[in-house]
Amino acid sequence: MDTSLLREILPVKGQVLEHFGETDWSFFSRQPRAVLFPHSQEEITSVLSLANENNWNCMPAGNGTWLEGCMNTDREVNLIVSMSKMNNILVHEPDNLFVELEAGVTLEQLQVTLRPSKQWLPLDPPGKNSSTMGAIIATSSCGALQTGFGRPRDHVLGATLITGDGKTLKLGGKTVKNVAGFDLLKLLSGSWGRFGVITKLIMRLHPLPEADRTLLFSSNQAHSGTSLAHDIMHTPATLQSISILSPGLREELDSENTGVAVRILESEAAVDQVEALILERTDLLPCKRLNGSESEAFFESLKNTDTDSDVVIRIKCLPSIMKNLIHQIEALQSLVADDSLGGLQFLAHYESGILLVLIDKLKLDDDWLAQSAETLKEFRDTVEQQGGSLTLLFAPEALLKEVTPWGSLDELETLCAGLEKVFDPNQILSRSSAHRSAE
Amino acid sequence: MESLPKNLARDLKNIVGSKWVLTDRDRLLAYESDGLTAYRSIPLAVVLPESTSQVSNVFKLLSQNGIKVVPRGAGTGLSGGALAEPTSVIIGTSRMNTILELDADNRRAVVQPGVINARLSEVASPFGLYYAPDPASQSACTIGGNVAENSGGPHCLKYGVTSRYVTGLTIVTYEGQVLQLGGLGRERGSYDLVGVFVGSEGCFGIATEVEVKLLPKPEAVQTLLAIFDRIEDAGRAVTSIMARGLLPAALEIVDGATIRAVEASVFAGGYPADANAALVVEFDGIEEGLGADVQKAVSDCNNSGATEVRSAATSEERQKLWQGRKKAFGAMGRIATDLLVQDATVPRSKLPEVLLKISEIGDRYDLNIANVFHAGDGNLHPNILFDRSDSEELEKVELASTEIMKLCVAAGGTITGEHGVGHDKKSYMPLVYGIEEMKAMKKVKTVFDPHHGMNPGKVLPADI
Repeated sequence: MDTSLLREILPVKGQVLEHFGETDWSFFSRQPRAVLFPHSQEEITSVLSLANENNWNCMPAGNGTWLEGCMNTDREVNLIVSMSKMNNILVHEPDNLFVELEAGVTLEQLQVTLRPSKQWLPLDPPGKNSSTMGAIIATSSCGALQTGFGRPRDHVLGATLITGDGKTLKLGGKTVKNVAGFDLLKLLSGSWGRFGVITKLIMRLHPLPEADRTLLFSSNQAHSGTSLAHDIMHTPATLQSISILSPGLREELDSENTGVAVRILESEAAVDQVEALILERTDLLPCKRLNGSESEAFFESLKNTDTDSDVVIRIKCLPSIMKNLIHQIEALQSLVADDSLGGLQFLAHYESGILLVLIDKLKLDDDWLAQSAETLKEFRDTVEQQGGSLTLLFAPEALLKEVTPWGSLDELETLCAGLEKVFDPNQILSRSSAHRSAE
Repeated sequence: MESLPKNLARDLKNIVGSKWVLTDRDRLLAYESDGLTAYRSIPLAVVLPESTSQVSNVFKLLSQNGIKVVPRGAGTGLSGGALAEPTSVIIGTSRMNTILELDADNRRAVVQPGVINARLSEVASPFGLYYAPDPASQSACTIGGNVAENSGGPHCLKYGVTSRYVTGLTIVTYEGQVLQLGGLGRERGSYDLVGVFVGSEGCFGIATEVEVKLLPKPEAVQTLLAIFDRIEDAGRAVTSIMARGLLPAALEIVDGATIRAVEASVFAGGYPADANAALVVEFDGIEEGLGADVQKAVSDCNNSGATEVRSAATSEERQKLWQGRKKAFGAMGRIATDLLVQDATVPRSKLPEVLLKISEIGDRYDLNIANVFHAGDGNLHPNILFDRSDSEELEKVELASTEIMKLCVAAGGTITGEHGVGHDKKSYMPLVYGIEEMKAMKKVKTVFDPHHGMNPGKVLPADI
């Protein structure tokens, strides 16, 4: 691969990185041939055109915090196109509650900019706030706040996409209501960069709530974690988060029992009333109350729960079957190393039907791979039989290869492959990070 | 007039029952247009299936015979999206009107596409739940139609449009393939196929089962009506309310022409007949929180020049305050024989200047334009009143509509906020999209509908 061609397109020093340490931009112990840091849409268009001509596999990225995410482990990546240098907030119109930004802007940078206008983007993807907005949308990453505010796709009003074949598409607009043409914008969220490089985003903003309160409950014999969450979900009020935490997951909660954390974002006048309604539903079970920055910090810490886990599994299910599934994750105990300190833990966002299962340290004995893969496949079957789905978010490369990140897409395979060809006819992007279990 | 080949009519009757295949001209007349009556065309036939499998079999038969298909719900659409050419067959969903599942525990429902929007909320009500998207036609329009159009409504300001509430779909493609997209309880690792299907205006396939998310009914509701001498002042009040961080459930403006039409009709709501604008502001949520929000909104209205601010103390009073807004379209019939309900959006801070310019356009073309709109999300509905039999006036309506669309796009908005492109606005698509965007849309349609048998001639200009 002749990287001198890239230097003609990206002449500024540091825009093409070829000699980097293993920890910088490697994934699964492999390294791309080059990492590019374009400063403009034109540069990205040129890079993708060149990649098409030379049949180079590319992977769009932000700050490179999750390069292994749902990778097809069989594919090599020649180029990583990082958006980290395109990090300007272009327009913020507080009166119209939207912001237009380059995709390399981090969530933290955005929230700091919005705060003086008493506005925010209510997204809390897992991990640090150094994730870029483009990556958050491309991976559809969200956390506890999705209960009250929806998924990333619900916050995107518009986007600019450079497709795999170097075309610039401006999708959506600046207004919340917009049904002009087919909604291609929705396809970007959760596309994992397979349709192109997202270069700009227009995001819908929300007023910062006056009051931020978290109520922390511990389960007991009369109230299991899921029954508490169920009762709280049916409080006649909109709650922003209802999370269930396995015993010992957070020090603020009882280490012996399952915890339930409820977040209320309301006006000062309403927050006490919402709390009273919740307590009525929970038979006045005692709870710990966190207000303001304490409440915010608690949920911020939940975002980083999975940082050091060897394996992270994401289960999606209806809230009503979560109780069963929480019992059934015991089946995964056999994968945990004997000397693991964290063991097997879980974090659930009840109303959203998201159950994250965390294996702190995998047991790596002689037959670990075959046994782990078999156990995970069986567990995926168990989840699917109950109408849910299982995604392997993080795992060692060999295990990911055996189990695959997602289950089978069956009859949707043709549609998904067809969509990839619309935006990336030569598959320079969709080759490098397969969405699907089989190609 | 074209007619359906006899053997095909027989085979269709074998699938859905002879009663449910309409081929008589008299009966087809009811399907010659949707809510946009400016365009009319009698379809080849209308088929009314009752299940996914019947739809699949009907589609297989029609696609094998090269006959194109136009899906239709209640026919309340306002963009000619359900208009069928004389060679196309309409597939009506009126018999597919069953609520298949109401799962209060998981706050979800699964419905057939012909279920009336308002009925879903009625059935969910005893469980303390409701379906949030509330288009003005919600007492007649169907959930399937809402999916096709990605419908909005007054309360979408706070709660969002249809796409936020549709979590799963069963669809049938033109070739008769049945596909399950999404589902509240699972993520299949596919792209957001539900998201791209919602709002596809019947051009990708037809939804035969729709899974939706339900919300808890708000504990309390408070409604205000502010009266203004100038519509620009009402627009400024909207900007002030939103800018201070309040999030009302609805913010709706009715202009003077509309007020006078409503007050002279059986729908009179007691608005001052000499007012030039009325702003309906509604808050919902926890009772304790509403009072402070309402006071702030009253203050914003007064500071923006309101001559009067009324509040509703009872449910009956609330209905009355909404009367002028909800019955506006019905009352227009008093003023003119025909009505073109336009639909466009602008960033809300642009409302005052855009409203002034729309008024100037009306004056220039000597047309009556009445404005009733979702001010909170900048979704304008300039209603152009005209007489269809007057060809000169019809031409002026076309020209004025085009100017209004250009005006809204130039202000940073778009050509439709909730009615869809359909047949009516295809020619405006180049105002908001370049060739590449429209080509990409066509290619995505081709992925779902490779033979282009679904709802031909809609959304994209013919030369794309």
